[in-house]
Amino acid sequence: MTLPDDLIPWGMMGLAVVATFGWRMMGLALADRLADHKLLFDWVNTVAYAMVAGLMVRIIIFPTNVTAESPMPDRLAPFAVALAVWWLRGKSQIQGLIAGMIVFALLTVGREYGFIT
Amino acid sequence: MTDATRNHAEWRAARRIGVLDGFGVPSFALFTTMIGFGAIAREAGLDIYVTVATTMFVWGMPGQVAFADLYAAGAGGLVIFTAVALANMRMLPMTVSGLPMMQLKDHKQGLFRDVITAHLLAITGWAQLTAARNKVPPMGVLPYYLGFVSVVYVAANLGTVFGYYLSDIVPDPVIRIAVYVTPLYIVLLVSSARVWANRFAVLLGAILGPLTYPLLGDWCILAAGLGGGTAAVVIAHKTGRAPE
Repeated sequence: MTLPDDLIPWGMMGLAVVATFGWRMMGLALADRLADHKLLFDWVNTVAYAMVAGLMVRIIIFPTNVTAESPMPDRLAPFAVALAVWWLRGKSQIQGLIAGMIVFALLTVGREYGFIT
Repeated sequence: MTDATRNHAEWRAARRIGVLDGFGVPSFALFTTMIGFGAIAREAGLDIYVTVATTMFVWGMPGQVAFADLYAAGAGGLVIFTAVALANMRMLPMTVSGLPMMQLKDHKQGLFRDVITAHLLAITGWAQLTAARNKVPPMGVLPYYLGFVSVVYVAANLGTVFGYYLSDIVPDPVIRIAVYVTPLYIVLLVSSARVWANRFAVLLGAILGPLTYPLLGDWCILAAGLGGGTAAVVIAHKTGRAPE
């Protein structure tokens, strides 16, 4: 069975939806059952945190999006500054984020206009 | 005041805090991230309807990007399904850990609403649950989350449309700065987790993810999650730092 051409993107998108929705439904079904098993529940929690952190730091260091156009030091320096400010300012996420953004913006604009080579 | 009235007032108050928290950095971050996706989807040859529907119904950026990339490359259904499932696998531990934080069982809101609640759970909303627990009582976490995530969801879909149509007139450096915000924001958010074991897991995951990427490619997420998460929980339990 083949889909008409104009339905192919919808069909493919449907597969992407099912591939994601399936995990969420599995999570919904398992959430309460696991809550009674403390060690298992703690483990799932730490796995989620580690997975999210691993993915996000990977995106910063080895991006596949448009930020890949910036050289590695330009992505690492703002990240380090953001973490330092976040830590020094009593774990203020907003201050860390703004500091990191400013450094990244300065480096990006600096390279764009040739101030940094 | 009856219990029902009080509960309703508490629900609305928590939801209001969630809505307010949704504006600002989280919406900006998701809006700009989805600008990137809108642009990628357009390049991939998807029309605007499929593009927006992808954001609405997949609602998980890495899987969305995998879908658009592979669609552009002419990949088959099985490849797309597998790649998206792997890219969005974190939804499983996130829902397992996130839904009990919302006391979903005690709210008894019915299966359909539970399903919608689970569907809307993605990284930003999940990471925000850590903050929510410091701002509202336990039974307020669900309305807080629903308020928060509805704002973020609308912003993300607007960003998708914006990115699809306007990415070629916005200068590239501006988009680059905008796209850099999301991972940075989420790293800071999860680093502020209350429980020691989770903070330690963030540290280990943040080291293992990029360290194993050159070797494992996208499987590095699994190495970071399973390796970092397992080590963190074992050490926490052995050293008496397990969450209460």
